[in-house]
Amino acid sequence: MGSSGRWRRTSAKAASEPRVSNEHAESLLTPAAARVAELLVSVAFTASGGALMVASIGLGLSAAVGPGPGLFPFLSGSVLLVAGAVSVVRDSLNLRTDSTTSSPAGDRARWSRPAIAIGLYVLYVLLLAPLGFVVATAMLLFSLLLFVGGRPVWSSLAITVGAVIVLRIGLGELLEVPLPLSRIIFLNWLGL
Amino acid sequence: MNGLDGLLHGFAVALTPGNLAFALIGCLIGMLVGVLPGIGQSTGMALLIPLTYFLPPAGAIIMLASIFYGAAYGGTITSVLLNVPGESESVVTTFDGHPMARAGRAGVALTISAIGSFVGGLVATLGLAFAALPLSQLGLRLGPPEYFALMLLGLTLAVSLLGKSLVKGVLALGLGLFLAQIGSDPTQGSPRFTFGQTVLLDGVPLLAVLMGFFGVSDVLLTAARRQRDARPAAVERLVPGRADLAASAGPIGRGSVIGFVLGLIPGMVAAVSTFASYVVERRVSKRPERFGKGAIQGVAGPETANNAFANASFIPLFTLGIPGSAALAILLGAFLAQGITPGPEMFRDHPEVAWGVIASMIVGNAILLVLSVPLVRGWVQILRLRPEVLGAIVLTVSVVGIYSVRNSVYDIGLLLVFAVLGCVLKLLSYPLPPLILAFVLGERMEAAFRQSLVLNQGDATVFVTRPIAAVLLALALIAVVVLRVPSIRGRKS
Repeated sequence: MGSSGRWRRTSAKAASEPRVSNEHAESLLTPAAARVAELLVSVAFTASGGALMVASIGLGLSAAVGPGPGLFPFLSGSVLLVAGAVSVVRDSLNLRTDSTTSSPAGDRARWSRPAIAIGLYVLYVLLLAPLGFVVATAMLLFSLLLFVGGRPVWSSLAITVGAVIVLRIGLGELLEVPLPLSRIIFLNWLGL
Repeated sequence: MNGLDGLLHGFAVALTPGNLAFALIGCLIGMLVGVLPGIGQSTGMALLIPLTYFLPPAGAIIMLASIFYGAAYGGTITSVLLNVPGESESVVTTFDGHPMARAGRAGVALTISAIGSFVGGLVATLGLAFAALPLSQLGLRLGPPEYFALMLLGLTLAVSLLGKSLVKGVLALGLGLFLAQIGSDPTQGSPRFTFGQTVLLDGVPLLAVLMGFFGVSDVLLTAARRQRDARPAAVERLVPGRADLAASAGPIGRGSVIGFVLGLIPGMVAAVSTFASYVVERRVSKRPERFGKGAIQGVAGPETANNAFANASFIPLFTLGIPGSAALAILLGAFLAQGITPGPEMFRDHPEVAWGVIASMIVGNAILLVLSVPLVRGWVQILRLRPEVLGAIVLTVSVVGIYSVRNSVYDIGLLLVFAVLGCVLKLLSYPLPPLILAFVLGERMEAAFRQSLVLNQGDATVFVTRPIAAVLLALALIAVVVLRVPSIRGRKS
């Protein structure tokens, strides 16, 4: 089935569902997952606040003249520690008092696209130096269009070629940004 | 130089062909990001900041400011035609705008919105021009303790007014302050929290924070959502009749005042101005039962208030250096990247930028009035674009954009870290504006705090013994008590 057919099918299924705005992004998680995540993030904030306070003491809270380099970070850390601790208590109570049965992992499929995008980003960071800017960027855009955008191969290829040419001319020629060339001799010889 | 002279000087800057082009490009991009699903005002600005590094200061800021208020125009289009508000402030427009569209009056609703937005923007910009110098002169008299208290008030208002949870707002603020402290100590130059990474000695790159928390994380979350296959309403007649214009005149006048006054308050959200305008219009209407069924007053007032708010919110930034929202914090970041610190000194040290941007706001609003209505049918076509494809392109452009500024792969890695962190925080309803505000204000806040203590031999009572600082701190405390305690009590009961 072509891309458009797949899109129509998804759209028909999704047509009855409300569009999710930023304010309601939490609905992307199941309630049980959201509660656990809330607690974990609160613990992380509290621990970070404590660590920041300890590190700040090491920097020095006072100096010969006035406050030391650690005073303001110490205060920031205390804000994180206190607010984080309040949040941990509240989230723990929510976790214990909540009686709703947790739904299964929910719609994991919807997270596949962002996960692929993040994976491609990591790959891009790793491949930028060996492959050079043009090839690595072309691979990133092509893969994003294909796997995240759901475009057909030929369409992804056409958009990629056009976009990379525009980026190469715009950045390399007009803005004179030194774009890294590939370490692979053949690609380097081609000026890529 | 008085306000009028400054404005005339500003027009000489804003009307140069280059700056006119930047205003036009900014308005078009602003409308585009307002129309496109999943890309809001802040996201659009954050994603385009890398480009401004290669532009002259006035042109760069004119373009970003145009995106800021242009997005408000674009958001109206989706509210009216699709019943989908792009931003929270556009929610009110759906109440009567979409019923008008269903009744075949979408063009009239959009034209009245454009006229109201123009008037609101014009009133607020003139207010900015004439309030700028007196307020900036007042700002020059403030010492470090007053500045610290003022920035703390701005952050407190942001935490109190934005988001559902005070604790989450405070945590976001704390995280922003922490990120701002990574790098060299501003006074002694010793490294702080750099984890042994020399690349962090200059601090966490502003772009990675802005683009990660706003641009890329938004696109990733949009990719996770199912999108409704929305069919925009048809746009037929565009020109409003005499009765529509007469009915809209009062709401436009009142909306201008409401938006302007609320826009002066740092941390205030634009949605308050549009809801306030809607409530006022319904109260003063002789036929309140028509609201919600396609009353033109329900579109004219809020849309005017929205744009008046957007333009008035530049006043605290330009005169005191305090951004009132995440989008304006991004704009502050762009100023800093250009070597300009917004605040009272800007009118003295960089008058061409300060006045050029103010004048360009009038020019930009005129461009939007002229362009928005004829382009409506074009935007309708763009509404049919698949968000996943757009997301793929935006993700690539953001990576390339951040790389192009410092040629640093490390910055791409940081962008990715902040994007993932931004996704997590957004999913759990942490308000991100306090984080961004704290990040961009953090260094200046610490400097003001330490200078205050040094000048007073380490005596912290300086913050309560100086009258202006004490009043500002008291206002911060009152803001928390008045704005947050009732909601906490309500939740408990």
